Amino acid sequence: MIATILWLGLVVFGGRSIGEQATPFGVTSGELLWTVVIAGNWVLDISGVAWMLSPRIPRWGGPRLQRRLAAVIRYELMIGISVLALIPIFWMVSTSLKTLPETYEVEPYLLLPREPQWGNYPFLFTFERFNVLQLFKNTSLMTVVNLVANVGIAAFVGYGFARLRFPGRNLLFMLVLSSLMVPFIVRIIPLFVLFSGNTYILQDQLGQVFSWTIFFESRSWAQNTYLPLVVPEFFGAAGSSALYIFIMRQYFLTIPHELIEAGRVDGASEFAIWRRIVLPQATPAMVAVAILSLQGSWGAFIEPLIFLRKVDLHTLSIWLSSFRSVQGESAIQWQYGMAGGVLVTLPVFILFLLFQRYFIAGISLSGIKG
Amino acid sequence: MRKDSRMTRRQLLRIAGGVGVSAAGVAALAACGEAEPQIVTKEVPVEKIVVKEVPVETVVTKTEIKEVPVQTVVTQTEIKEVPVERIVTQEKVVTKEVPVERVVTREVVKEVVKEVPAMREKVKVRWQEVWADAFQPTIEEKMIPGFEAQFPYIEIVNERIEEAQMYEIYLTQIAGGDPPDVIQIQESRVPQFAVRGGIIPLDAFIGKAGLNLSEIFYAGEWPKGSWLGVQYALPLDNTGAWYLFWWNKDTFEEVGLDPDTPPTTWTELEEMALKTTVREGGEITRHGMFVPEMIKGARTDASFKGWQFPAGGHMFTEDAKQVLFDDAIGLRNVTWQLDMVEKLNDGWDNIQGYMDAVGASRTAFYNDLLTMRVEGVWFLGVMRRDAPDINAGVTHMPYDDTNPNAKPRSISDDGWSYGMPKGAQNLEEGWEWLRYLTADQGNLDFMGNLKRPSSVPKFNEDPLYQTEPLWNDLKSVLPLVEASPITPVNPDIDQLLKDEMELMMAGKQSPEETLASMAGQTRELLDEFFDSL
Amino acid sequence: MRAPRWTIGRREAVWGFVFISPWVLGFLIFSLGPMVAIIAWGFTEYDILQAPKLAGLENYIEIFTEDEKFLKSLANTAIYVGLLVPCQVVIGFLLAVLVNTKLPMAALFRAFYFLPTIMPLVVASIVWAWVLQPELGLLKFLLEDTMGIPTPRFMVDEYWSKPGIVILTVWSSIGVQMILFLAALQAVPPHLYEAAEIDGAGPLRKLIHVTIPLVSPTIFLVIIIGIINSFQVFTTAFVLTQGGPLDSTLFYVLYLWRKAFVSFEFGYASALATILFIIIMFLTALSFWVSRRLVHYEQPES
Repeated sequence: MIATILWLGLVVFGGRSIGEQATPFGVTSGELLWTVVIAGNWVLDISGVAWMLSPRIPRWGGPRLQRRLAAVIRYELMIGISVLALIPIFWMVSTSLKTLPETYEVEPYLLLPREPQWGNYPFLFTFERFNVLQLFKNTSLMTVVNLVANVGIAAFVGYGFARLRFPGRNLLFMLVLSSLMVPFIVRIIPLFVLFSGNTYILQDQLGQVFSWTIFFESRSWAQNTYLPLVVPEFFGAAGSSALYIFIMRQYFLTIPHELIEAGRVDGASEFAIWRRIVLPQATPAMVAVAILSLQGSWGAFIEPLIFLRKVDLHTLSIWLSSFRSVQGESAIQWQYGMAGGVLVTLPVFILFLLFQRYFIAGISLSGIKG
Repeated sequence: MRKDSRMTRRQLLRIAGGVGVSAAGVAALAACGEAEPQIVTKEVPVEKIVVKEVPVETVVTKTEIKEVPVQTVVTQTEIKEVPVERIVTQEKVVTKEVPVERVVTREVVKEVVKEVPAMREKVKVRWQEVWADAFQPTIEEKMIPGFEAQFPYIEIVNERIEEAQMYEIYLTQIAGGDPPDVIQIQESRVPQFAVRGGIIPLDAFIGKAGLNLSEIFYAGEWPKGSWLGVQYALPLDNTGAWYLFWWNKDTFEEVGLDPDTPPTTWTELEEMALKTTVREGGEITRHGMFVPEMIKGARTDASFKGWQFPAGGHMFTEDAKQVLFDDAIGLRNVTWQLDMVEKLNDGWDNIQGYMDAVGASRTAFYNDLLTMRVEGVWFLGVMRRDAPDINAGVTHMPYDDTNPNAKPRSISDDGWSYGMPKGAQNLEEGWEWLRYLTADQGNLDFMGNLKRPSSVPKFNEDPLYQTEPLWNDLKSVLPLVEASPITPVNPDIDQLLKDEMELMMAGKQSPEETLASMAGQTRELLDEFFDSL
Repeated sequence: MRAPRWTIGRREAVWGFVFISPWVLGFLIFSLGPMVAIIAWGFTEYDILQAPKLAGLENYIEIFTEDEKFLKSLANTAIYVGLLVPCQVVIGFLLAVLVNTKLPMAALFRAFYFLPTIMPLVVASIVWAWVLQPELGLLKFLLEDTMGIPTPRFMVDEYWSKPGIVILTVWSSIGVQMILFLAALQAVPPHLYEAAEIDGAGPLRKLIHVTIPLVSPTIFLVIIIGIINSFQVFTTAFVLTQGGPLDSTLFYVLYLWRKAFVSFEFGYASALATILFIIIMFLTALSFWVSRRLVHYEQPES
């Protein structure tokens, strides 16, 4: 897979001509590169993994050498796969440094800007229509509050569904999942009605089905505030809350029951068992939920678009969408859109780098020996 | 037991604490929202525009049937038949279903209004549109200040929404009873909203303001914002120019064609396209023209409609009740498009990849991989920005010279306009802004900045446009535009045209089958709709 | 006065209800109403702008008897789910095993694999559209133009359009599955590996006999979530193909969206949504039933 990188480098700097040279073997250099370097590399990778996994293939050298070899193969795979993962990222960063006409150059393909336009980034902060710093503030506030709500609620409710037996538990859990099963584009209409509090409209239309939502009659509480985007998260009723509850439930199910039984024998209440015994065990799952919640609220697009209509309440995703238009009649300024994309992606990337250490607590556990 | 209960209390406190924290978080977030101004509500008599639905007539038919039965009188000697006349009046009440007519009147009604006590608070007009991207300072710098200087008691709140999701957002807000005051809407969707009462009729406002629409707007533009004679929206742009022919002058020069003479007929188009096509080793490295590629992306419905008019045909009758494209001209249109794909591009496979949503055909045009194409008037501004070096020309679409009745003309059955949705709060103020945006300075500011032709002829003469060298070429196409009727089932018709054209291009059905299927389905939709009225 | 005598089971049940009570509240307030409304609208003729008219079973009758696109879109979606979910499980699991190491720099690679997931959808869909663009795309340039390797014509070929969307979805979501599996790998107690090692098991056998059974709850989770989410695939097809070519990417929710917001038949769309709900619910329940035997849970009984 290292070869993949070499080849990409050749393409980036050598352009199309790299593949078009004649070779003594009667094929073009491109085909030769492909077969020999790339395919050969894959064969090596696969045999390397097989060697690591299968005890039948004879070993040589001491355990130290074997560990080193295993590490080399692992690195090789990790680097190769990251090339695949990073192609769109590379494209995003490269485009963000181009001029607009350069973004349209395909003949020959312009993979890197002729001269990096670093000015594209500061330009994003000069719009009068959008105060980018304000947007960052809005989005982070919403993200943080949602994160706390999601992790807390999912860990609490998930434990109830995982380790406490009560009548109707499985049925109720199916109900939890059921909220994931109605497409958002259909749910949004009744949801908006619910939050805008104009239930009389629905009472007209649907008789009494909705009359109980009379609680929300005070119209202003959900108008142009973050409440519709935040409050359901505190009750496990937001778009993906059910997913987080499910994740926590599945994780709690893997915690040894001896631990919980021991707590019960000691006379601790269920709450204490949850707080003292179960939660500390569940850190990886909670971090996973935190990361997913972070990613979800940071990138939320359609809900903020519908509930927050004032420009200074907007979130970053809405701002980003103002650089493109699906019908394409108005402006698409790729370079700014992509620069915005880089700016928006970067904080989550850094947070992920900080968070992810919780995933490597005990390393000797992994299936492949490292 | 005691120990247990104490523990529970502590837990309770802890849970309460948690709830308190989350409540505080919620409150903090709520505080970020808008503080509701103190408004006193009062009952005041207001002059208001009232839209009433009045059933116009009930027809009672009375049928008198005279029955003449025979009474038999029996006397001693003879039997005499004396005819007695009896009149039976049979009353048959036939209630004719007459379309409910919207009567727009102005009445003085008592209404609860927001009255702002001491200082007169500004009326906030919420304006939602899909075009104002981050690069248009015009709105903040010119349009809104210009309007607010005229109407100091109105404050315009610009709420940009996303074009791809615009109808979801409009419908959601209308259903939730919280719609904005002015919305941008496609004219192809106006009847769809109008027939369901989703958009407010403007006739009363237009009458009050004394606007003469046919004097202000292009003749082909303003009727598109109406349905059954009632005006629901006012046009923003000149949409006639949705189908313009663009060619690359440098490529023309390179292959020995006159760069300033574009093809005007289908025959010339074919010749010139073949001449500019470059083939290398059996593969086309530069295409002359993608005939079914229109406007942008995979809009094959547009390619049928777009070529139907230069072919000398029509889509519908004036009242939109009958299909007119099901004839020899329609057949010629689809057959020719299919032929051209084979002749110019060696088959649909070679061009389908360009019919995508990200604008590959534009990119191909910029990179000299494509010499001629059809796209709307917005392409001018887009091209100037995306590829400033390109030397392109613009003219009307080539017409079918084998049809003696065909001439240069193009269809207009869509476009952008402004209307007021059902449930809008500030009708009077909203109307002022709507008028300013369409019939007044706001239109020039907005469209001139985008270099797109305005719906108002006089604005198109403005010096703002004259900086564009192709402007006069472009303007000369505008009079060739003819409006085509729009119905509330328009979006469904577009979808089926697109599907059927695609099936034909992929070789799944013949042109005859395609045309018959398109016409049949369209008739079905139209009949179903008009029957339901 | 005597305190009520609670059996252990009763006490546990009460605590269970305490633990799930936030969700119950949220469900009653926020989720139940919209769901009931959608089911109710399924029996009406409703266009959002006007009051719904009761239509009985008309929508359902039309769906099942006349609507060809209903079956077409359902089949498209089923094929898509069948292609996507196994990819997500296998690739996600292998990736997690690969990066579950203390080697230096591994953290960076974990972050790299997660990066496509955090790219804003607006940007990501455009970037991917350009990467996979069949004529001018980056992939075609890298493979076909420079190397002469034929590239499938993703998005425009009737048969390659669904795999194209699957690749894109795996690409953009595999970080999520990786994280779930990474979290699950942490719960495998080390002593089990040690025990297996003493028994002379190699790495492959440890993987099959220790790791996979112990992360089976997460495999199950990923499958269920995969089914639920991918049955509702919408955005990718909406942005990239709009259902084409030849309706090969007309997925169920995309069709439903067209009915609701293009044709303004929201009642019909609600009926479609209800059918989808029942299908997903059935598949989920089925998976739960199947999983009883296959998934290893740490529970005293059952």
